Amino acid sequence: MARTLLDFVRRYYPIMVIIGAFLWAVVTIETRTSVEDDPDVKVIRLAHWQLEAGAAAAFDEMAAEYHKLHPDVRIVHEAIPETGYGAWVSTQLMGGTAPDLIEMGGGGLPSTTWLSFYTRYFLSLSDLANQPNPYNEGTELEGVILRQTFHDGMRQGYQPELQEYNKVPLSMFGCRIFYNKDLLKRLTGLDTPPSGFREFLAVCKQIRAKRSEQGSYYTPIAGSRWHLSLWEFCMFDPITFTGLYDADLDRDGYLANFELFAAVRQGALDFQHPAFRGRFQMMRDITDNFQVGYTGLQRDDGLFLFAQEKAVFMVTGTWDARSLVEQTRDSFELGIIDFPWPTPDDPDYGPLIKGTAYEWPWVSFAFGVYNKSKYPDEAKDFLLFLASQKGNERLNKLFGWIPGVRGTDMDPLVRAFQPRLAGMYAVFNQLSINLQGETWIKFLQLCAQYQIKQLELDEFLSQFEAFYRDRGQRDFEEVMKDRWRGIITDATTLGSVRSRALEATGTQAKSLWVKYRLLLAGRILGSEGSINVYNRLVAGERIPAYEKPYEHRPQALARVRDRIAREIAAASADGAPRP
Amino acid sequence: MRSSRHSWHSRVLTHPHAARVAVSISLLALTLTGCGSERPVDPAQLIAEGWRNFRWGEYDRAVKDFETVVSHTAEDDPTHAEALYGLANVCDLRLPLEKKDQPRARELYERVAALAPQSDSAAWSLLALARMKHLRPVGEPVDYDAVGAACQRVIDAFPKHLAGEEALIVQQSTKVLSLEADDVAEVAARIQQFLSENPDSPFASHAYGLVAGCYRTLGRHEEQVQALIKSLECSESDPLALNDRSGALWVIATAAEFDAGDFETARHYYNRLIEEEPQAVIVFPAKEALKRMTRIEDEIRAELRQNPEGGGG
Repeated sequence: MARTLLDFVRRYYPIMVIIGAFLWAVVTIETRTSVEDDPDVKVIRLAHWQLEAGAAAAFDEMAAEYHKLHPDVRIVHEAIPETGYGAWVSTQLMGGTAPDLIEMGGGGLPSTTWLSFYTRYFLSLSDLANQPNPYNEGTELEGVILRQTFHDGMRQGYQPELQEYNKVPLSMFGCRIFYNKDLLKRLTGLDTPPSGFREFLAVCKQIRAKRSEQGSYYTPIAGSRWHLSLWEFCMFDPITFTGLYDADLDRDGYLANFELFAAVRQGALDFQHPAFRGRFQMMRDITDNFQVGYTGLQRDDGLFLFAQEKAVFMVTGTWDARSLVEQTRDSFELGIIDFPWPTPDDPDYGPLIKGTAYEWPWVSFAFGVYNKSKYPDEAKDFLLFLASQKGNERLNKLFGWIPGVRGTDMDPLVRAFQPRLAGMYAVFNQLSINLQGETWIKFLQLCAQYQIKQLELDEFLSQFEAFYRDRGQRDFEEVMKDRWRGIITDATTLGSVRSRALEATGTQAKSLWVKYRLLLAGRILGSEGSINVYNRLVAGERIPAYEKPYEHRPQALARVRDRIAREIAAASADGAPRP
Repeated sequence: MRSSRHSWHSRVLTHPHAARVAVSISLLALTLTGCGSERPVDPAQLIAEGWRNFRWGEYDRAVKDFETVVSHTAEDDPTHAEALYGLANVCDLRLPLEKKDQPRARELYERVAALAPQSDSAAWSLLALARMKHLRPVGEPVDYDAVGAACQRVIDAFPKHLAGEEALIVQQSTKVLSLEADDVAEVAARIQQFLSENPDSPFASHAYGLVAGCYRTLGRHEEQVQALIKSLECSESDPLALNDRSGALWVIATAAEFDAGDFETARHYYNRLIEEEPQAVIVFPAKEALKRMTRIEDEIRAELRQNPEGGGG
């Protein structure tokens, strides 16, 4: 009997294990569901990828505050590591098990994938964005529609491709340079940090010359590939602003990758342009002060060097501010300075400097509402609570971030990070130079060689230009084909908007029809016109309207001259002082 | 304490999940025995469902919804044409691109136009047929003459319908792609005629924008600036959208400054941009432009003071 039983177990052991695991899973899920299915409590699940110090406590506190106001609603948050967030969200959305509120963007998913998710899985929040936030009652924002309560007018919650608001952004981010006050004093004798570009470089030079008691070097700026990208974004890219006047052929104030290619092919500029040279020269000036081998290092390596007091400066953003303060509290005093911007009389960069840099108000940390949410109204209401003046202030104080909503107070630590909303902006950056395909790979290869000093600036730029002009043609054609594919895809969006417009009534219908016509004119007909023009320009055709866009036409100047001459003549005739 | 008052089976029956389990078992049983009777079809509801599935990217479900209505309604029933139009839309516009079934879509659009020639669905179907000729797959050349003719068919059949007006805009926008002076002048005249006949058309702003582009190509820059201004004045405001006008203000200002030499207008629109869209990045070059124009005027004034005969044109 025992033998028979043993044989049975041996024979069916794998199946028994599978059945056992299945039953265990059923019981576990059912038990958990039973807790959530308390008929008197509406559970709102919120997913995010913020694993910074204090994030969990911040969400817990906001959830508890909300629960006090709405005892029938319970907020449960789930933190998913950023690296796996995209895959997790995709699985949850496709499987129909997504949480009610989802942090939008990032997580390794391309923006096009997020875009497709917006239409398929998320509720439009345009109505919410255009109504006053009830949680602002009794404040200066009472009666103000939600989108106008944000510093940036809630632009980051708006999806131009869909002409809709589909997320509510809750925090603003910025970048600055952190420095070790004690180490700066010890190595340079300075009590105050350097302010201008030349002074900053001189201080870095002083730091480089110092040795520790053990004879090891100090690094002026803690760097890594990740840190370099912040320097590029905040400093090297904006000094290319003057390139706009030569390369922006369609004169819309921005530069696209296909437009830069056309401008180069038309002879409007080349890669020896002062703005190009300035960008990469500045990269060399700054990275000369990074630790050796920074190109192979990651974010944590730079952070480690700074925390170990082997580097004086390090660039990072508000998202790291709280953690850095916590980590360095017992070791050294932390300071924050702005980027060392060159002055207009700078010997190298002066002609490029027309002001300071525009800083994008990254009002991010945005949440959308899952369209199959069991409690969409409660989910939206919790978002409104987080986006209210008081709620947003509290949430961001807990995180140590900058609130996205106007009239809010903030942690003194992050005041220095408030973005400047006026100044020069990037023209030659990784978007406009990136013609994709092999051209972009070549750029990355050559730039990497330049960064490790295997190439000098002239070699780097001339080798890239030769490749760009030649091989770039094929990649340009692919970019244009992608744009055409985009138009065909937009036709589907257009069909979708039209179907909603035909069903809708009142304000909703009006809004949808306006949206429909804007999509048609901008994304379909406008894009087609642009593809037509740039194909011709790259083929060498001269189109007068696209030549020297920022030069006054002779007739235009003649008209100005005539007007002034008439004004002078009229003033002379009247005996009045000449204008 | 409840356990002492209730037997185990009464607890099972009153458990909150009991109903769910019972429903699941019933559904399973129905499915297995094939006893599910056919649902009565509500065409309007199914059509709405079909469109919702289309918007959500559930194309196969949308096809099923529309096909059910088509098979359950008579050809003279208005919902029949509506469902055919919905079905055609799905075949025409579904994603990914490889899944499109354009031959079927074409046939269905034509059927709608034949079955209910005066209906809204027919108007949108004719427009869709024109768009199918226009938005060809990558690598396939577009026959713009055919696009123009297909648009003309919509314009002739529905001159006052939104689809007809859209067809005109598409037709003229594609004609102007040649950049040939004759074509461009013809388009400018045709659109001006449309605007005089339909001053309140919802497409007025886009029409003026198209005219402005024509004048830019033709070198008629003062008219270009005026058309751009009219385009902005007529532009529709979406009550629920961002309504960022920085781009439109910038285009007028730069055209006035660089092309027309109308610094007064340029200043006006640069200033409006700075005041109305203070967070736009192009506020910075707008401020630069204001300084630049003042500098140019000062230089001309200084020159004219030194050489008063140098003025005039």
